[in-house]
Amino acid sequence: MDTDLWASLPSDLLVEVLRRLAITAVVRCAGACRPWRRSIIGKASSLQPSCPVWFKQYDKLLSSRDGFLLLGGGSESMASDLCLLGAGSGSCRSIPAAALGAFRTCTYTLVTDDGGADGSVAVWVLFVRQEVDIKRGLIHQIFFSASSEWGPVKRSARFEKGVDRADMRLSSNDMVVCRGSIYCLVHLYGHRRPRRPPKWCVFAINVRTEQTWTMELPEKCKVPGPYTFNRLFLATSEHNRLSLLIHQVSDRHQIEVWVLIGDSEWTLRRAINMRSLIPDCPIEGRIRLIILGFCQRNGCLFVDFDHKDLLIDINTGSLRPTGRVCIDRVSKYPYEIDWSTYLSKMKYF
Amino acid sequence: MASAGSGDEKAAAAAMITLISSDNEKFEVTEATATLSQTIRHMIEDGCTDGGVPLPNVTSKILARVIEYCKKHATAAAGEEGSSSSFSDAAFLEVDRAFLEELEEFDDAFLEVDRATLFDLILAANYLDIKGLLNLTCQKVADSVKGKTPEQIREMYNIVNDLTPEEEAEIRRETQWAFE
Repeated sequence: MDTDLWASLPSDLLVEVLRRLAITAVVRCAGACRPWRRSIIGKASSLQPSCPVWFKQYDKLLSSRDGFLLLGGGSESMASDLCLLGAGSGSCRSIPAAALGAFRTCTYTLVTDDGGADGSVAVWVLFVRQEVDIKRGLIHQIFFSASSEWGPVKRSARFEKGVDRADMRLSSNDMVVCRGSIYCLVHLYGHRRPRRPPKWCVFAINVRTEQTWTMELPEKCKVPGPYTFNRLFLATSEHNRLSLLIHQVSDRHQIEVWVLIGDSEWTLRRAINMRSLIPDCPIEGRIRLIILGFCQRNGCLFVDFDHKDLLIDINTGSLRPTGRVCIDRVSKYPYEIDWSTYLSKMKYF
Repeated sequence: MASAGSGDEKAAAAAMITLISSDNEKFEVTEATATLSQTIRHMIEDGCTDGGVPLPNVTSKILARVIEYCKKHATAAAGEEGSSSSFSDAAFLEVDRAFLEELEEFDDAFLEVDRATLFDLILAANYLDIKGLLNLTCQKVADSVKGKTPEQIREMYNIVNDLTPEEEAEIRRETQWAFE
């Protein structure tokens, strides 16, 4: 047999073979030789792994991270077991629901570490009970894959004194994972007397230490008013730091990118003037610009500008091309590193 | 119904097509057999099969194997059509099941070939657009790769490792989970 016979298999036919395989096997093939590697990277989009049958039992995606999926059994059975699926390794394990998981108003968030020397990845699951008012603290529980157990149910410290009411966005897309901690924005409403304006803070929890803390937003930033949920976002970007994106709606439509340095210091990394960024944008007058969704991981924003979909990369302050995504709500833009993204990040030798 | 059906089959069987391999060997096959290949089916529909169908990408050795596959599966297709009118008949179902089992055995035996032949069969199945054969051969390769390391894959398919040790180390780093 020729030594380069199989290496010369046309890309389309290699895809025909590989689409029958799990991701792990495909990735191994990508390590066999350059031609195969190039074909696989080039054809990443045709290699979406197929959905296994048992997936249907767990039809609710609770959280995803680094190729791990946490699935629940649909709306009828929130109290039943959850399924932790390693899309990469094809592993699948059942984990019990959290102690208070029977309540529908809860959020699960997956956290993974970088993987040990043996290639194993530790997984934590943070359970947060969703309540109308969380001023007395956030009820949470953490599951750790190595111990296969949920830790005790805990309540975080009370939010600052004088707060009348506290609430937060608790969809899985609002929980930002960064360096082993989970961050989310909390909205604090002041006392009526003496009256204090509402403000935002960042709530954080470290999954290893189970330590919780809160951080102020940058002092110098002008925070949008109280009912502007889709103008304030947490994201991870640039060297895996926590960043805060603020959409200043004023006439200029500016997007500010603040990056957390150290424990609590924010620095303004970039201010993106949307008028000058978007081609054919009128210099004056009202424009319609709504942030539809964003990618926590790379900080890309999906923006509706006068009914046109745009993708803005906040790390470079540039527009990225995006196909028309027919999606009408923020929640339809979940972003996690997906298979194609993963493959596209592989080095081309 | 049944007699009309078999009459059609006879008519189809009567029409013979000549396939010509790259090394100029001629193969006479029935139209039913040849039309398992979408490529040839289109040629027949376009009426350009007089004087034989030249297949410059397929050697006689591989074409003989492909025809063997098509013959078997063409009979299977004809059998299915015949039995569909009396689908509820238990006896027919039993015959079907036995036939399908036989077909599976045939497929398994058919795939007992060396890797170079398997490669040529994939290319031929793709060129001739024979879905079943492409499925069968690609699945065979996929199954053989399952659970193998890159080194084992290279060894099995006689692929030269053209990656530098540094590149290999990098690949391992970025995809550690895949190499467990």
